[in-house]
Amino acid sequence: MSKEEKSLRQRREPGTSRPCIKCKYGVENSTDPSKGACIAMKSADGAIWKKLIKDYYNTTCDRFEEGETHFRDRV
Amino acid sequence: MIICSNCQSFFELPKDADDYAEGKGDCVREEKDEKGKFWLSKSTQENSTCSLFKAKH
Amino acid sequence: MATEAKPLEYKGKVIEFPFENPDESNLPLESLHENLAKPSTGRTKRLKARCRWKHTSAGEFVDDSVRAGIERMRYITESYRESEGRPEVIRRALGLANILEKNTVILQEDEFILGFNAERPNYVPMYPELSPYTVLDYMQGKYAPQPASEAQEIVQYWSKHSLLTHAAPYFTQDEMDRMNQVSTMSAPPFASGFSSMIPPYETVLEDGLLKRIQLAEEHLREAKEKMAAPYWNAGERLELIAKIDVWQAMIIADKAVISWARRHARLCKIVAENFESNPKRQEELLEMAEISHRIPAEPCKGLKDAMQAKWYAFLICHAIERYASGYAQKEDKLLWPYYKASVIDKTSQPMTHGDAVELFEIERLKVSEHGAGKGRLYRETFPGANDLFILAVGGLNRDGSDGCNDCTDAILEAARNIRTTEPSIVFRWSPKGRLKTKRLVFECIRDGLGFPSIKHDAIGTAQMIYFSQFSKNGNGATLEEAHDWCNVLCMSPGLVGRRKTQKTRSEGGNSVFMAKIFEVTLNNGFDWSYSDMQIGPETGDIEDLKTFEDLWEAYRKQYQYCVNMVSSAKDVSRYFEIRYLQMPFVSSIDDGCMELGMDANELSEQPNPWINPITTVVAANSMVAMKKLIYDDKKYTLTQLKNALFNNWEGYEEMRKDFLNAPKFGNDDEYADQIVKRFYEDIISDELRKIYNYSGAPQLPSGQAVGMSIEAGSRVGPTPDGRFGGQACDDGGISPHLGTDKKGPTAVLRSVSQVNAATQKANLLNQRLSQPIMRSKHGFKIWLAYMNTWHDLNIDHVQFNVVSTEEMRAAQKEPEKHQDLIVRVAGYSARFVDLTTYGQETIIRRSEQDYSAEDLEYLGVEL
Repeated sequence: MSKEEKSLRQRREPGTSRPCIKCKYGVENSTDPSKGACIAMKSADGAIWKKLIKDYYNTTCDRFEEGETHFRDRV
Repeated sequence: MIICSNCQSFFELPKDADDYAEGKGDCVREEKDEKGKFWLSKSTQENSTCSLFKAKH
Repeated sequence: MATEAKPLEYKGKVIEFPFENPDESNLPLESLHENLAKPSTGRTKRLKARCRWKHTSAGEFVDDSVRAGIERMRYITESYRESEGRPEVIRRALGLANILEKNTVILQEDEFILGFNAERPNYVPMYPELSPYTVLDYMQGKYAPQPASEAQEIVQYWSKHSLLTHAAPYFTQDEMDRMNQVSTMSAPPFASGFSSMIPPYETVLEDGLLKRIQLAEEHLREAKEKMAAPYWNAGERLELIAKIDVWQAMIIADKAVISWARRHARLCKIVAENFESNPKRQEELLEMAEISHRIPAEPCKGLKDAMQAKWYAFLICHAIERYASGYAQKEDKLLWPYYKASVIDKTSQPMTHGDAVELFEIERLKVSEHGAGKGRLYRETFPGANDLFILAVGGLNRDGSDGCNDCTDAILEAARNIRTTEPSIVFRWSPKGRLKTKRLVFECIRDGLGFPSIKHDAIGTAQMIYFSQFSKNGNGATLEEAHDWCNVLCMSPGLVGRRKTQKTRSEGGNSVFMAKIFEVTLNNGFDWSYSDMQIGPETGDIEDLKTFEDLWEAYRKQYQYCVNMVSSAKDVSRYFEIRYLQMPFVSSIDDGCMELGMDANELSEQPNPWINPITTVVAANSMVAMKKLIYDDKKYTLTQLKNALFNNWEGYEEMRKDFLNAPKFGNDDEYADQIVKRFYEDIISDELRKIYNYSGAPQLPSGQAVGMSIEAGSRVGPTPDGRFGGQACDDGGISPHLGTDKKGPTAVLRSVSQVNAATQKANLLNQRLSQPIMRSKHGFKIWLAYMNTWHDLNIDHVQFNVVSTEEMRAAQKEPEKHQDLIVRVAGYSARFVDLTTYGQETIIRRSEQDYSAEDLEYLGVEL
């Protein structure tokens, strides 16, 4: 596992002040708003490789960064 | 009195309207934003009131 | 500056390619498309300049000012709370009537076509009865409906009554979780509420709603008389109870629609008399008032009537009674009698052809402002679009004569002039189609609109005949009626007309994602790269797939599982739509529903079932690469491949090159094409045809990716075709994967023609053609030869991007200067600047097909 992948390893922290829903790399799940997806991971050519976030409100990781990503930088 | 029937935006329904009812009218307001002018129409009652009231001239 | 195509030696001559319009050599290549719009009047120019687009991308509205309205959900909920205990179909009608009586109606400056779906021009409506998930999603974002507390109460109410609430208990939590991943399967229709339909507009235009009410009243009277007459017969008469409710609901709905149209008429009159000072506009407003007072109550007389009646019917069917995507209609046939009356005979609402073109430009701008309160999935799935709006033109008439007419030309001229992405157009290609109209089709494509997309007329008609044999009431399409079809949404044909049209997406639709299915096939049904969960049956680890046939059969089982699941989800949705989501207005305008007293969700006269396999070519190319490098050549082992994939090819660069360079579909390569053909026919089609849907017919695959080649790609790990994890998959349904078709345009056609089109419901083929050739003096001749060859190869569909990489790169740098740059994404077009960077790159990476001398020879072009 690369350093980047390690930093993106999700961990469930109930009540965290740094939840994925507040993170610039978090996007809402397509169907169930309690879930999300992480868009921080990029493939070799810059394509975004999504990872499911099963509990959008209570999950975080080392790459947490509060904010929003412009639609053009998403999928 | 601040009621719809005294407001510039109130237009009483003609008696032959399908949705005619005693005291019923159309509240028609002109608005403008960066894309241009538009008019909104909503059903109302003559004795209703709202914060956008403008007395008839 | 724009550059000409290089000269080419062909049949012993050097062929030059000067621009058809010599002035083009003075236009900058990087902004060519900013110079092509030619709105036909000052009004349409103004309307376009102030158009309130509601395009979405990556789940967001591109225009930040868009908001979710509360009126629609407020009034339907209010009505439902008051109508408890009454028959469900009546509650649906009363809900519609309450919305139409109390909602805000809108008139905008310069408008001629009246009617909107929400309370302000920058709002979209909400549908809590379909899916509270969707409203919750809006509520937690910046578009939240206000007041939030009221929205919250409404969601709470519908959490007990929605389509999702009714249907979900019939699936296990595991099944729901698997579908909701949208990785191997689409989310169930009952979770998203997504739908599409073909409204039977003909009855609205030809009869008017007063006539429809009269018909319902006659049926009602007869039924009540039959109920009361001696001697009582339970077997015959109890069934009349449900019919009586349906006819009553129709009457409530139609009266409400007439009254709502007349509210618009009153608004125009009030504005003309109290707000407007321009005498010309005053006169026009009074004309609009007169039309909306009379229409859609009465039959249409001229083109203005028909356009307005069609728009009102569209709004109710697609946006107010319930949400349904689409703009399905055979517009040149539907409007031809009114075009003729106004433009040719001048017997009603007389106008010139130019006036008609302006009206079609106005229609396009009206559609461009129409937003959908759809869920996040569908705001991601059609990047750059408001929603999917696709109309059809061309083809053949019922008697086999050419269906192109002057109305077809007006529709195409308007599209070319005004340059909006919406609505997209499908042209049904027949050898009988007149050249004048085909030239206009060419001009739209050449100018980079990405549409019309082209469908093979005879294939579509044969399909209508095929499905009619399964009609449950023996009243499917006749041989004549089979000619009357359009695309239901992007790709799949469905009947148009006064009855037998498709009314719900639970008839045809729902998707499976073939590349992801391939990925989990190599991992015993487990998804390691996105959701970290078991999402398919256990069919063995990669090392268990000792032979190619093992791989083939394991894939078949994973595919079977997915298509079975999404098919059942679709039909379970239908079951509950019939009971809780009746459509009294739609039913009232369908002759079959009217005659039989049945709701439009329930009555199925012409089956039209399909499932959308998406990202098929990545899966098929992966199959080919594994056969070649592992099973045939034995250059690599399954364990090596497993390790390479788990490491996203990192440390396996040489191996990746081999897999990337393995034979690929789209190059007229016998090795690849035969495997791919078998994949489409033996697995995709044959397995699907074992499943019979609600309407009693076997399903067919309809390959169309919408924007899911991008979105789904981001959820798919690395694949054996040499693709990295997260990279986009193949666009379309049978398009070669990005940049892998390297042998020219005719090689693509030969590969695609290997797959028997009759085994598929539709298959989308994207091609990107050389802009300098298309804009040259030979452009039309070469394209026409290409199209005739395509037709003769019996291919279902093709559509084109004609845009330079230079212009797309320039637009990435300065998006604000490239608002008119349009690209074809899938079954729809989008403004390039409304796409994500990821999405933009997928367009740029498509192979730009140039023509070699061999290609021209194959096409039989004389230059």
